[in-house]
Amino acid sequence: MPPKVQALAVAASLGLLALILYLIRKGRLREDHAILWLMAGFSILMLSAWRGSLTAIARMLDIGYAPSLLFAVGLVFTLLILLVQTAVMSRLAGHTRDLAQELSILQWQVQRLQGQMDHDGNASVDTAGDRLPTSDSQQPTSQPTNQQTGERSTAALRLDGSDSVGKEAAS
Amino acid sequence: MAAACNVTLSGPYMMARQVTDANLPSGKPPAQAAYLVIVPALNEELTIAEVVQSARSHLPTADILVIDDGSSDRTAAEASRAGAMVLSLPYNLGIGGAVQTGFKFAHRMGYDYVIRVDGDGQHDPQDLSRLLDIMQHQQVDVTIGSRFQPTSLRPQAVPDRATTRPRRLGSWGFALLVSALTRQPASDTTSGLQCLNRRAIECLAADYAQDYPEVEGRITLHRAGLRVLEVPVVMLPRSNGRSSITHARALYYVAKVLLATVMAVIRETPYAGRHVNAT
Repeated sequence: MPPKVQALAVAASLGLLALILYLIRKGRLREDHAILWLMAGFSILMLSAWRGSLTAIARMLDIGYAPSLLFAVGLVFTLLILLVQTAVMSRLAGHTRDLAQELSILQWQVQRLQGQMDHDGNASVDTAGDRLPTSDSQQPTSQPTNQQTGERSTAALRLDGSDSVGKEAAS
Repeated sequence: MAAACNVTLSGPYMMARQVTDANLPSGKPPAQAAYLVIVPALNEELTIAEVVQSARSHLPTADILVIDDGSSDRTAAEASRAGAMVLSLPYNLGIGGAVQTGFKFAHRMGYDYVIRVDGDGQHDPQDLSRLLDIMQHQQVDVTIGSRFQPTSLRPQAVPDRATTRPRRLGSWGFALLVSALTRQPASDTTSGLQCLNRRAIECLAADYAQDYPEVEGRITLHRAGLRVLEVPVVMLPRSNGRSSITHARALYYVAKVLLATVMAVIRETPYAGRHVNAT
């Protein structure tokens, strides 16, 4: 390997390692994601600084021009890192989708509870139904206190609990 | 995760929770079975109110849930004004993400049946109760309104945009693929008109593609051991707006759905083999 190429490769890999460590120190690169980068940086540093290793491996693989092995190693790591990043992105996309769905459901629930609390604060009549987003004429959605099943009575109890909070806040 | 967030909020929607599959020996719904119509909608302000009203008039006992998939128009307001419950997604998730929101809602609130319709008014509301009836009487877990079934009860009187020749060819290809992979007859694998029972709701709430989910969903249902039956329906002409699938996206659509469908066969999923039905 020509000395100029070697110097350039060593400087570049040292720079890369320094940048990686700086980012980790600043908390801008998570350690789990940094492992691959560190491995890439050290591999290139080793191959470029220790000339014997590069030529030995190149000869072993029948590579005529040894420095091209450096490119190959760099390329392999680049592909690997890209693939891992795409996988991470897919996972994050799944998480943001879950969060968005969760948010919309929670928002709806908060609105409904708020409606019930407002209502109970203004009037003591225990009908939460007419503040629901649905029309009150619908039987299944209107009256939490109209207990038909055991399941519903616990539901009504819990609603009463939240209602009393509303009353206290109002009084 | 599904189990952990099962009981988060009590309320009137909980009445149906105690009705479990064990209470359904004849496949007939008990008197208090809770129905939820879910309507995913993206910029459908002109048609959404009508869809909500017609669903209500044909299924008066059902609750109606519109999932606003990040619309930039007044879809949410119109749906709310028409008397629907409205979930507003903070940004556009895609049709599958919106529908899955409805499944999650239904699962958590303890609904027994979900009827999914599109927000553009292309589905005949009369079919809603028909799909439900057939599902309950045939004892299947899912019924799907099919536009292409050869044994269509009514003639395809109104040809619409959805049945142009390349699209018909694509639908046929996907139907062939799904038939082969599930070893069940399939004719319309992209239909957005579906009825699901509790088991199917739970399954798809946990695992549903974010965009173009229908074809892949058939495989997911099949792998979970759920029974799917197609019922011939006629689509109404689209009264407003255009299909979400433009020419430019068609290629991506085919490639994505093809890959997702084939991969759905081998993908790890929490629901594979969960319900093995004696058919």
